Amino acid sequence: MAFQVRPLVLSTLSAGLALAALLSACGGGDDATGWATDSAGSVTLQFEAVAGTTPVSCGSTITGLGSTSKSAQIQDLRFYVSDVQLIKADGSTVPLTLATTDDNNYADANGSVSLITLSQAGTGACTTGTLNTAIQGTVPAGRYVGVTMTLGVPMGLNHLSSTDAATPAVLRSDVNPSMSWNWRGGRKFTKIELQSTEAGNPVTLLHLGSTGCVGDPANGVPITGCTAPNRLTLSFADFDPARQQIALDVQSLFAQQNFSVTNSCMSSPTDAGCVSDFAALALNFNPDGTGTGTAVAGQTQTVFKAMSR
Amino acid sequence: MTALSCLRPVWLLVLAVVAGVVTGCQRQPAATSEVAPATSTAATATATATATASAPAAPASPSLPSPSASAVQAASDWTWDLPDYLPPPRVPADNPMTQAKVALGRYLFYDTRLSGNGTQACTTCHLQKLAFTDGRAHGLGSTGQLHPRSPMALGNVGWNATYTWANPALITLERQMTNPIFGETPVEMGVNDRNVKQILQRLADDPAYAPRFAAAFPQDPAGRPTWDHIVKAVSSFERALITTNSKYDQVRQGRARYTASEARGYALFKSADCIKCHQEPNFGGQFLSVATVKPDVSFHNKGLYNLDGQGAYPAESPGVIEITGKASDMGMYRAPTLRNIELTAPYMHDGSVATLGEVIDLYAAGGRGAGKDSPLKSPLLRPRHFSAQDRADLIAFLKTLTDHQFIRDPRYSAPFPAAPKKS
Repeated sequence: MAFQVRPLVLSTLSAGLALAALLSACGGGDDATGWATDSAGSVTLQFEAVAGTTPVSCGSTITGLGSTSKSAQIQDLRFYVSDVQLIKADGSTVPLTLATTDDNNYADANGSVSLITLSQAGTGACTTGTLNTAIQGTVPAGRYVGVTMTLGVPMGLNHLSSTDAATPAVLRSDVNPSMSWNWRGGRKFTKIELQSTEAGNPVTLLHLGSTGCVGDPANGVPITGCTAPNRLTLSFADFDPARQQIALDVQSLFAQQNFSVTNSCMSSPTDAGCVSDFAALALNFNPDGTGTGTAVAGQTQTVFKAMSR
Repeated sequence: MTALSCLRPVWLLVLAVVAGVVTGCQRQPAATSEVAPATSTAATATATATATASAPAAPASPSLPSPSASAVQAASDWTWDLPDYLPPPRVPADNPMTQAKVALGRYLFYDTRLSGNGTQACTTCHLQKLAFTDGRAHGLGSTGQLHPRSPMALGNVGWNATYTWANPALITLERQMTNPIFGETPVEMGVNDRNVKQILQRLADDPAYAPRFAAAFPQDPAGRPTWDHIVKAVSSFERALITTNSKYDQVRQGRARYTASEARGYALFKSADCIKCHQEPNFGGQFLSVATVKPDVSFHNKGLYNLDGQGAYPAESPGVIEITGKASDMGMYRAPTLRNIELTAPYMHDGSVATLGEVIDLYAAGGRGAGKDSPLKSPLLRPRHFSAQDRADLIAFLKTLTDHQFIRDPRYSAPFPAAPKKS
């Protein structure tokens, strides 16, 4: 039977699947779906900014933005990503161990965090930022099908002092001063700022971060909790880092904003100007201040998406 | 000062004691946290030695969320010289008071190199002669942006439970200070991605600073300026800005007597509920000392605005709601200290009241304009009949809170020689 079947299989399966099956056999994987790491388990997750499907960067004139289809340039585009995990075919997840601790990456028992910077100082309208477009790390060698991560800084790291020498560099004011959100006691999870080409160059920005954070003076605890965490799970069930990257779509994020005027959403719980940005992220927000800052059940964010590399 | 020492029990702040008490509370259940400071309360009534001896009641070696507490640092050599009715302030465990830090902090407080464009120092908005306010309704940042709020006085600022006018997310001077330095909306000192390293280099290029930093932070004998050390030094200097020699203090210590008008004003201050928010001994809300068991971290709506019939304040400065998002926090502000209030006009968070007389009139009216009918207004704000004499008496009493020594004290003054006059 086997003698008769094999030519049929080869003729009908794609070369890719055949290769995957072969690798799976060598690596001892559980099945042939998904993609396989190298023997070291190295993983590189690549990020980029897009408008729709068009890659954009500092200096690009981005057209067709907002409710009135205006143009803008990137002014600043940075965001924190934490708790990256790879998804296996059976749905289980495996944490990515960050390759390095440096000015862009940190991990300890309280969580992991990486700062992705898609803006480059001195290019176009960008005055800040040094490109850092990827997260590198390792997982146990094997087969995986997807990736999941959190947009934001974990609670255990978010409220560390921005100036203490002991605070990780990626979260410190001397390294990334404008990612600190001192008046809210934490970090800006995103600093996404577009400068319109309309008269006066009005800025459209989203500073996402935990809000409603308060401290406990009696016991000297800087922040005890936040009413709206505003952390967002980004899950890509079918994602191959060798072929794909994670794209932040500024057109989708700001689809409802009018680029002829300033649109400043600093995640204030009562800021009506935040409604459409949070809707695009599928984060619960009510301008009466009762938003929970958690994922809206049954809705999927439309800002981050998997695209071909 | 020496002549007064006999009247003022000297508070020796032993680092280990306060660090143990403060940090010991961090991971304790509420019941425990109320016990530890109570030990200090007992100690405060007696002598320094007792305070030290009773310290072991604090839980031993708690695990700290901040790893910096384990960093090598100089032990406190600081002595709080305070009247017996003013227990020492809480001091963060990772920033014990030292003479060298206060000395360094004084230089930095007055140093314009600390702003992005080199034009502003902390003192630009906090002038000693005005009890460290600037006489402006709205602070003016280094790049010309107006702040929605008025700079606050800094006397006895170490005793606040929270900082700025309305921010329960800022419970230490160290955290507060990052706002004027790094803030973007509005820009104040204007330190940003582009100049953050350059500013440290400016200080490093001044050979006078290295020995000051090294003395304040012996863990770095090279005395390199860092933001960590800058923030800790300036916060220490701010904690050292003690104002306790007003006529009120002198009367309380038996060194002076109120005039008849001042005495009537003091009585009225109490009977008319002013004291409910402006509590002795610091005449503000949110007083927090080593002896505080349960701090009152409350904010108040004074009926200044009511833009929509539901109590709305102007969007540029709506109060605590900006932080918490709670509708009931609209227009809520911390009651600032009234010490030196004579010097800190204009008044309120937005400087919208020009004189003390107008402040009293506003309170006597139970608010201002439509604000009188705000549903969010504090119930303490209600119409009260003040005669012309009452008004004069209250002002007379408020002026007894002015500390004329504080605003001339050379320890708090600019350490740099005055710039040579251009001819």
